[in-house]
Amino acid sequence: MLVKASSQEIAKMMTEEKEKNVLEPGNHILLIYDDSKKLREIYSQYSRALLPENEIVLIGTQYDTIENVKNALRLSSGGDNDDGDRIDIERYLNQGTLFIVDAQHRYHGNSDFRGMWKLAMSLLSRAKKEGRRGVTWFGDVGSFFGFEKIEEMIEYELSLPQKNEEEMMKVVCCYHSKDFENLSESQKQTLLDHHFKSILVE
Amino acid sequence: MSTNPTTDNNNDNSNDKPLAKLLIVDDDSDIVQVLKMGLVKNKFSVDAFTNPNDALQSFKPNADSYFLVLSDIRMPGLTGIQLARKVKAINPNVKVVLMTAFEIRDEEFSKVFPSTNVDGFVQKPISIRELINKVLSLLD
Repeated sequence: MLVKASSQEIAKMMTEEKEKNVLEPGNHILLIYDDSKKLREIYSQYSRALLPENEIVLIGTQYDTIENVKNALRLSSGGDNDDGDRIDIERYLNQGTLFIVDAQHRYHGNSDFRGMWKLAMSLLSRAKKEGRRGVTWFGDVGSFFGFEKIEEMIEYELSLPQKNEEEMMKVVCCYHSKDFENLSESQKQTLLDHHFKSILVE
Repeated sequence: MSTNPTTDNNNDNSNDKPLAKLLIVDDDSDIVQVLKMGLVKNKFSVDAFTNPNDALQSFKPNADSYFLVLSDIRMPGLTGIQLARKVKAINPNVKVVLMTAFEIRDEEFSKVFPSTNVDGFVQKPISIRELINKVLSLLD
């Protein structure tokens, strides 16, 4: 299923209640974006809504520096007339419910490409222990393209379930459209079929 | 910024021959603009792109005219390292300097691209003065 919507609409759909929500508990979804600003909008609005609700948010960034991600979150507000209600990211970073990491280093720091997964799993254990709502993991997979590890990336993607048994875990695999276009048609289809939902940011 | 090339070597002494012709590639249009302005002001001729594939297309027919390619490393579609390999394959004499705002982890690159030959790395943010010194050091 491919959903097409603007970044604002997608952010809203990710935080909606029940059937309208494209990121229900346990979902492993694919998100294709063509502009870093749109990706920032999505994870910022999501974090703004869910961090106060006791969610742990993990952002693995590829084309933005960690500092840029922090700034995007800091500057995020609820809308044009709502700039007084910003995310206190230092608070969430300090309490360990917001993690921003270099996805490339996490994916390629070890030979098994599972650095991000291991981090997410450790956060999941912590979330359970601390009675938190859950863990949402935004991971940009662009480094697999840069390192020419496409087969390995697909294998890795297929190793993640379409729907996690662990309902507390939500996974958003982020693809820049220029990277996604480098895949063959059958590779694209394999990935689209494997994810619970696929979203194209317009 | 358009992904079309922007060529400029109009400096204060427009009659002077440019010191060298450079190709700049970064998916951040603000960075491209700032670097280009600084280099042009210092007598370099600059073609600037935000899309590495467009940069490569422009490089191909004019490969011998470029002294150096200055490229960001992390770019969607074609990374700076992949671009470096392609331009070196076309013109082995062209110098390539890669830029990154991220920590450069040699082990990650050397594992994956052991044979990629680049002439230098610079860490962003970089001042125009530092960048010019880097380019001049390769011109010598």
